[in-house]
Amino acid sequence: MRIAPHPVLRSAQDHLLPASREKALATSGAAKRRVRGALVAMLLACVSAAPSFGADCAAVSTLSCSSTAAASLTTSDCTAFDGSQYHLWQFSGNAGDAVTIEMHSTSFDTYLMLLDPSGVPLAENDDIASGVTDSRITFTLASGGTWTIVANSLAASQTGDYTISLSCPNVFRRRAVR
Amino acid sequence: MINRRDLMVRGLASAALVGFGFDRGKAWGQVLSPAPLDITKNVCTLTCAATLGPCYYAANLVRRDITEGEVGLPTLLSFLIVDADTCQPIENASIDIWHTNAGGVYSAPINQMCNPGNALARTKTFTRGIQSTDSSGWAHFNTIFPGWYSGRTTHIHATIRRSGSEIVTTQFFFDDSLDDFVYKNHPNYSSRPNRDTTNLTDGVIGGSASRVSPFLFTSKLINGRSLVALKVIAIRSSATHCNA
Repeated sequence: MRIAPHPVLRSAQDHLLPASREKALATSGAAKRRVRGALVAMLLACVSAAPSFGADCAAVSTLSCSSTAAASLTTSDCTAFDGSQYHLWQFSGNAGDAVTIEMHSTSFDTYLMLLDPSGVPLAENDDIASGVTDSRITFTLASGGTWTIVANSLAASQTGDYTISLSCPNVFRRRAVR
Repeated sequence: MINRRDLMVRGLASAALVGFGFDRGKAWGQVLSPAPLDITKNVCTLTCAATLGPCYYAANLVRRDITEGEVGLPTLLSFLIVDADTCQPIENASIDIWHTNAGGVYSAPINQMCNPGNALARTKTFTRGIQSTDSSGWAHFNTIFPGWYSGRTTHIHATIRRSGSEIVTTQFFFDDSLDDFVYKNHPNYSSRPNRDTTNLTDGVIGGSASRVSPFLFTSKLINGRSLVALKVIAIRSSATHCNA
């Protein structure tokens, strides 16, 4: 399979998430609504197909600032070259926004990557701290646009439920000043 | 995870497996895939030296983004530098890296065997840079996947320094299956799909899987378009004397 030079991730609105996968947690009512909307927009394009290395995984969900979503990695999800599974989550940001992304699971060792709007990986994390297999990325966005979070298991055959959260403290400070 | 006891146990187990010629990729049933990402692999095992090579250039460019506009597979290289004796992360170690562009060409006005017939590359400093480790021992580079050139397997050169003194100069490698996949499929590389040297046949590091293993990155390639490669480098406070 040939690869396009840059990722062109499909709109998160293209596909719907089955009700059974709408497991959303949120820190506020508004955030909960946003998360639910995001989860409803989750794509399942790669679920039915057998994973293949380098396959274009188009399944994308959206994640809003100050929200937490719950999902589950399965062996039929999108597969990285190392055989591990992943979900893609997107959020919109502006240059200078400081964001913190956290991924938590009691089922598997989590791994996080952050891709800029061109698909360039700019940050990654395996473990938050010694002895903690959850993952956290704190990053100041260098440019505005749609950023992509790769919610991944550390290794192949690691699957199960997880939560992912996005906080953007200075975004809310800027809104409050207005 | 930088849990010393756990890492030491894993390191010993890993060393034992390597010693018995255990092929981890096959054990996981993923013959075509590189070893699972596991930054704990070989942690606390002293990183040995490998030749500097003729293509080093003292550009002294302290920068995280070393692409200088070169196109290729976007790659984040993340290095964790730890003390080989205590297994603790080392802050403020510097790592100086250099590698080829997608076409297998080095930059800078150096030995012409590094960029034969490429006058433009000799005026550039692409894919060279220096970073210092943070308080957790990590240093990161935004770059592109290196292209291949005849006679060598795909590699990244690195020199580690502490307080300005060289501790170790070495080279790191990617899994052969990843190299082949990128060269055959990515549009910035696929015009030269058939490299002539693999990790096992490389003159610097080749010969056996166990010899190559301590120098391999663990890699995550997402959608065939975004690559993260991690390597743990274990050093001592004085120059390293073991050789690859």
